Amino acid sequence: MVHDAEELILKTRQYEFVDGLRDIQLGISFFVMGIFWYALALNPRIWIFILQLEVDKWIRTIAFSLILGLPVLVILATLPLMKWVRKRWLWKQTGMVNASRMVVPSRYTLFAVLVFVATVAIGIWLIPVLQTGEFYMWNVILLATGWSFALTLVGMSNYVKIRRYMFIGILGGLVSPAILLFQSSMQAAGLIFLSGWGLLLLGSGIAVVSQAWPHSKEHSHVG
Amino acid sequence: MSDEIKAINDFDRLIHEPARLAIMAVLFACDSADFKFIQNSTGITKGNLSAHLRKLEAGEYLKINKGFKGNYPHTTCALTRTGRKAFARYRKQYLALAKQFTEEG
Repeated sequence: MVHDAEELILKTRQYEFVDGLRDIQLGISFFVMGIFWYALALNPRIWIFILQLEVDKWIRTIAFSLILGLPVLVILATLPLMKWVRKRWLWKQTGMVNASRMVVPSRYTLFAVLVFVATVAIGIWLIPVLQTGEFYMWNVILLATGWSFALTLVGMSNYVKIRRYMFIGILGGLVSPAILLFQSSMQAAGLIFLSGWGLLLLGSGIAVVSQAWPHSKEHSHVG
Repeated sequence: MSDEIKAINDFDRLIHEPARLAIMAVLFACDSADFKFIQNSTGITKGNLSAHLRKLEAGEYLKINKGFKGNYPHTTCALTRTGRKAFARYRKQYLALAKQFTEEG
């Protein structure tokens, strides 16, 4: 009975991730952030182009707001889109669940924050020792973000017992230091970092969807 | 009375029934779930599930929302704060007891 109850708790927690759509949603979000914020928002040529446009001030303001705000809108739009797909697929067959807001327990989040702070602190401490490029600190922040996100994924994997997040977390964590090689361009580093994570998550999501789709009639829990 | 029996005696009777324990476990792990998911996960028949849900609702452990999805009725359930606290306590008790039995056995 105890075993059954714990099994039910675990299966219900896993339900949010069994169809791979959450991975795809996160992957798209990373890609969109990378492309918009790094390829557009940080590109001075785009800003100069908008400033040089002979249009009313408010049109320029709209153009700037779109560049900065569009990724947020796209990311927000992926959530109802994911829900829409689920309504027609997973939820239609095996029922609907609104997942808990706290998917990752706070102890893992806290640990991830600590790792972020520690990485940035070590990065600052290493400035006199290393030959640092113009955007070194920016890359350290990206690395810290990568490691804390990787840890969050590992923690989540441990909590919901889905092995693919452990794999993505470890792989992402190991690859993240490569970002320190791109110290000459803030744009390139951000783009590579975000699209790298996006690719990992998208790949994982697509793999799970393609596995789950043929068996979608069953209530399968793909880990 | 042994400690184990005392511990069992202390269990919340509303949750202790296996079908209701299963329902509570499912709802404890999420914000809300629909009737179909609870039925699929627990394997309880429709009639039994309705009866147990009503009992848990009467005990103020869960809230039932009845609506429509298109032309079809759609029922969702969520634990109340009281229900969540009660299940957390029950879970702590059964895990402690299970640990005790494992250590002794």
